[in-house]
Amino acid sequence: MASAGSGDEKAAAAAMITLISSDNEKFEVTEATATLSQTIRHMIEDGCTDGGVPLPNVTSKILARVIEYCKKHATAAAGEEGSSSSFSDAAFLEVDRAFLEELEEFDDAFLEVDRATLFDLILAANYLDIKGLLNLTCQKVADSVKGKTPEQIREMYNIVNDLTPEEEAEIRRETQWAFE
Amino acid sequence: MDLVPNDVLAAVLQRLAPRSLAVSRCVCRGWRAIIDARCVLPRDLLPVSLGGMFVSLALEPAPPEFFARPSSMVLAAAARLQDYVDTAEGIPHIINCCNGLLLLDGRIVNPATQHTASDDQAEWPPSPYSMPVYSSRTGTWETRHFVREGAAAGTIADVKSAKEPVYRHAVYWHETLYVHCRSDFIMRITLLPDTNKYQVIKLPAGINASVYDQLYLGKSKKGVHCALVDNDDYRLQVLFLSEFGGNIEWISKYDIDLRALVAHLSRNNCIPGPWTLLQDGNSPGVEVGENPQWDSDNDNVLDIEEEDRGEKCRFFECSISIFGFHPFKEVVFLFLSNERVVACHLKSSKIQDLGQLVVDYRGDVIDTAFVYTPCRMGDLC
Repeated sequence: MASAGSGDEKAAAAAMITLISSDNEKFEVTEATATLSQTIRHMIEDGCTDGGVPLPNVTSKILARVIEYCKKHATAAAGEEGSSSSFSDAAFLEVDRAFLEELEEFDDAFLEVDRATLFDLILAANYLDIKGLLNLTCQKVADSVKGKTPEQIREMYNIVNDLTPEEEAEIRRETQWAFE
Repeated sequence: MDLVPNDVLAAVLQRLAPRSLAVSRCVCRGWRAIIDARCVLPRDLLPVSLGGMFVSLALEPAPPEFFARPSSMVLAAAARLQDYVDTAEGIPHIINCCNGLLLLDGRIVNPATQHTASDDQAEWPPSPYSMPVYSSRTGTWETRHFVREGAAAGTIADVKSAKEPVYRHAVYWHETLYVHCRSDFIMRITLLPDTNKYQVIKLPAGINASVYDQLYLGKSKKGVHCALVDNDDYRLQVLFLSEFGGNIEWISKYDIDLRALVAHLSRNNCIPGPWTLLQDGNSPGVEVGENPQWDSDNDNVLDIEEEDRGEKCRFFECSISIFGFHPFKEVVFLFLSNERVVACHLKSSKIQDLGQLVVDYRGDVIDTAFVYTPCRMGDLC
């Protein structure tokens, strides 16, 4: 089991992908990490990753964070695959639980960013089609809206209220209970 | 936030609970548009706060009271229910409460929005239709939900306005239950395990429910039959429910004029027939014949004379009711003028007189009859 695992790692390590940020910084990542992005997975499948993958919509600062996320979660995915074959083994389950807890802690810490970065991460996750990261970041924004008044939401996200007083009154009337 | 594509904004907003979603509609036009187009915020948005409790009184004929921590919202709701008291017939009685709606007798009320609707326009029977089903194997009752295939019979208002038939019957045939329902449709319920389905079978267009006096649903040779009697012109119609090739339709099979029979029996009323009421297993004053089995084809066939035919029978007061179908032959048993039972052979219009059936218990009359076939095998289960 141990030797087979290290063999897999070697095979994965052999396949490296170069990602190029909008400010021309190059990032070397394993294929397992890169393919958390469906966009990159498709490019690999189409065989057009030679010479690096240019990502003109993602800055180096954000790409570094995205790769950090993908690395952690790619390991998690590999760990899950390994444990499923020995499901009855209590020791493995224990390891699994500890790992999931660690992953949750990682996600929480990962989201400790300012709002601008959070939105940049959402945009990158959307562009790169990384489901887990998009879920995580969107939920963070949704949580920030929860329990707030329309005024507070506008203030928080610098949104200009373009509704007429009549429109606003109508909306409030339609779902009056939500404003009480 | 302006730079966020709509897809992403929708992905964020779709994660919001109804209350936050409703509030978010009020942020700006862009958010409202995305929520209206991409998020599930139905107009009947479900409430997420507890308003209080309506309590009904057991004896006092008074409207339900409202028990709550006083706030402007709940006071308004309680006061508005009071408003409905004036408009509704009598004192509202709450039958059930779900998702902010109150079901009163025959109407649905939303006290928070002051919307009220009569449930009369809802279709009947509903789908799914919940019925308690008894299993003789497990010995327990369970509620099963039957889904309708095909159209409904009409609206609740239609069914309410229809006259309740004097008798309604049900037939069990080939793992299917046929039930004669109010407003004269047949509910065909499939009882196969795991097939919780039912269909509505209406009577053929030519049959006017207001004309006939009795509708009898029963099982006869080859399947489900329906017999209709019209006592104005002594007419017996028999329909057969054909299910050939999965296509369910009524076929008008027989249309029999019973006027001559009525005329004949009114002149020959007192002649005893071969059948009689048995008391304590004996037939008083009658010898038990050598062959006690009924010859269902030839026993006591009535010889209806020519003079019985024609308009004369118009003068005889007679009411015909249906006792049932012969289980294996195309025969209907009729009960005439509360005193005589005959077997009417549908194919040949031959009539066998079975005999007088008069009960002498303080002017009582016969309510229902059941055609019985003895079964001498198996356990009761």
